[in-house]
Amino acid sequence: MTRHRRQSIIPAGQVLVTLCFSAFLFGTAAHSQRPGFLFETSRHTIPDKHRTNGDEHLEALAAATDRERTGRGAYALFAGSERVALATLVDKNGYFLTKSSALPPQGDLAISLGGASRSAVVMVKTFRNTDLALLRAVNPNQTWSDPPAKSDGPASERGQWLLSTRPGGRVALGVVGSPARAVKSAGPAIGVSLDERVDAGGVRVMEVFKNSAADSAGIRRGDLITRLNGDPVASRVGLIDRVRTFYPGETIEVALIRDGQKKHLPLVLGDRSVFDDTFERITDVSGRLSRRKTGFASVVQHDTPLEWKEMGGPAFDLDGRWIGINVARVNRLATYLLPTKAFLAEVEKAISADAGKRQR
Amino acid sequence: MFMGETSIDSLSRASRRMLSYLLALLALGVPSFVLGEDRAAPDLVAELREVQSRVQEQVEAAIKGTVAIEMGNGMGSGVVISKEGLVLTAAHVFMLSNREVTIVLADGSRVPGRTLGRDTRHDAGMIQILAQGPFEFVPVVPKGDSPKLADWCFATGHPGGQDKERGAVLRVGRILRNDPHLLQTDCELIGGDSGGPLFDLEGRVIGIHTSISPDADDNFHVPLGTYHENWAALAAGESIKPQMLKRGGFVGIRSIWRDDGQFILEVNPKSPAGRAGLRNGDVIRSVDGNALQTARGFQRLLRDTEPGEIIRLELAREDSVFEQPLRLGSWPARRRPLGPPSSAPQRP
Repeated sequence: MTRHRRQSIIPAGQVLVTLCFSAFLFGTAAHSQRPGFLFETSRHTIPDKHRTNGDEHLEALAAATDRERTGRGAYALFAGSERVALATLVDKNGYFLTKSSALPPQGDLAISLGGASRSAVVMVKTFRNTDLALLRAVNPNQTWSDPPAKSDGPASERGQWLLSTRPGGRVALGVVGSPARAVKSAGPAIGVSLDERVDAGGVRVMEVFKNSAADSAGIRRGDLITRLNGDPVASRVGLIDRVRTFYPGETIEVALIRDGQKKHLPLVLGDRSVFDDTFERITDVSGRLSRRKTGFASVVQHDTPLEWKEMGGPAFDLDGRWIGINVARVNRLATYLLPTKAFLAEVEKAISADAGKRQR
Repeated sequence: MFMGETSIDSLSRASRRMLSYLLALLALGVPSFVLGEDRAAPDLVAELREVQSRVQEQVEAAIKGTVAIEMGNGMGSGVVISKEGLVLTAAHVFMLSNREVTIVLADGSRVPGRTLGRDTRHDAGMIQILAQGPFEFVPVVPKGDSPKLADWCFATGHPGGQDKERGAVLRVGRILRNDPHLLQTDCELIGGDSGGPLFDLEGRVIGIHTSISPDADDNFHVPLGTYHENWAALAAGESIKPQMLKRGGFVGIRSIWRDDGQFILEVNPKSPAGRAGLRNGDVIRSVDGNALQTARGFQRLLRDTEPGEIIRLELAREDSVFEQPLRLGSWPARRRPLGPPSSAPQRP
């Protein structure tokens, strides 16, 4: 492409209008000290529909891209009555992928079919290295549209547009910000300080940090933690080492004694990177982020402004080719995408194993 | 006085101007944008394809010219604009002229640099790399050339600091505002991006990242024109400071006029504004019941106040509007910077 074909990028009419806007606005209203009430209040910034992710811009984009192709595969996933994530249809016999750590420890899972209509799904398998979960529709007679064409997908390079699809054929627009790379796990976090002394049969909780994983799980100061996933914990160091064998976002069962009573609490592990986020006030300018956003062997970073509950959905290029699945909302400007080749072979194997088991 | 500005007379004058403006546009035959009709959908995809191919033509050179700047605990970004190693950055990335900094080039090598001048009014700064060139560099737009509203653009920088595995990160968006000393885009920025470059689709630097607010579309950049205005002074290591009109009471914010009021870009935590709980991104809609309707309204209202006086601000924050009393202070003897980058984390 030549670099001088500017007129083909922005239609001629628009260049003219924006020129007029700026000349008019800044030439007469803002620069002069006369009160240009009408213009200062309504014309300072460009309207929503011409912003990259303005609603009207996305409407037009969804209409322009082949809804049949790019709209394919994105479903809303519910746990009980709460929408927790998106899911990507990967097999027309009703197999879906979603973000594993987005699922709560309890609650019946269902795929939304639009409106109030739902289809129950069950968990087939989780993939710890990619934080994906494979789900299967319970009803064998339900028919599903064709999933996105399975391919290794083209390599994603900086500057490539990505269309992340949402249920109902809606889209969000972003660009690849850096090519596929490994993101090391920051490690899981519970959010407690523990007594270093060895107590009778457990480890004593000295402090529970507000809004931490432990806080959400209902752990309190003074609790005596006795077991993690059924394994006894004897010391503070032993407990920490055991926790480090998990990924952020995974759920562990904590057995504890409080006021002489035994309790078993499911605890969803946090991501240690949240400490940096809080310290650097990243959350203030980013909104809520994914529970697990580190510990991936290969992710593509893009700038699509998605919400943390929109992980698990597919992303396509402008030609409707399936590139991968959004797996983590990382901060204001970053969403991580798992390229299809990072998970597809493993997932297909799991699907055929599950299908084979059901035929027998 | 202030209230006079909203008189029927001035409104009708503005309306007349609006009418003649619309008529001029209609005569030129470009009504679709004005009337709010969408462009034909296939054009949009073609436009995106064109943007993609032009960004991809330029991005490699842009990444090569983008550097990370380390000074003490602070981390920012910058861009090399000459083969001799002149770097443009934001003034708040370094606090003093003629100091040693470390520049991390795109290939990961670290070279020493020396800070030159800074324009603290608009947050423009320059650094000279001291190592032997030639260096990878990118062109800047010439003096007098500024982007137009809705132009596509792209940003690079080191969000969160330099990351060897990742390198500089690209974002693409559009120009949402082009004031004489402030650009706004929907290229999202975050801490560590400060001082990084904003490019046009020809790969020329048109701005330098300066600040953000929580709204994803509030990403601000210093336009290149601000550098051109004082190029020689900045390159000579001079500091250009604001001529403060120290009249009236002191609030302690950096703000700009936005559609619906005075938009707060930055709150000095140790000022009356900080104590009253004002936040970046708040919009001041009125002062003591006087609605702000022009760019100079806020300044004018404050001019007639005294230190110690309590004013009532009507603030819009997210979806709520509320009243906040604020006790005005006295102007500090010297305008102080708001702290190093690490303690002013709202700045990218």
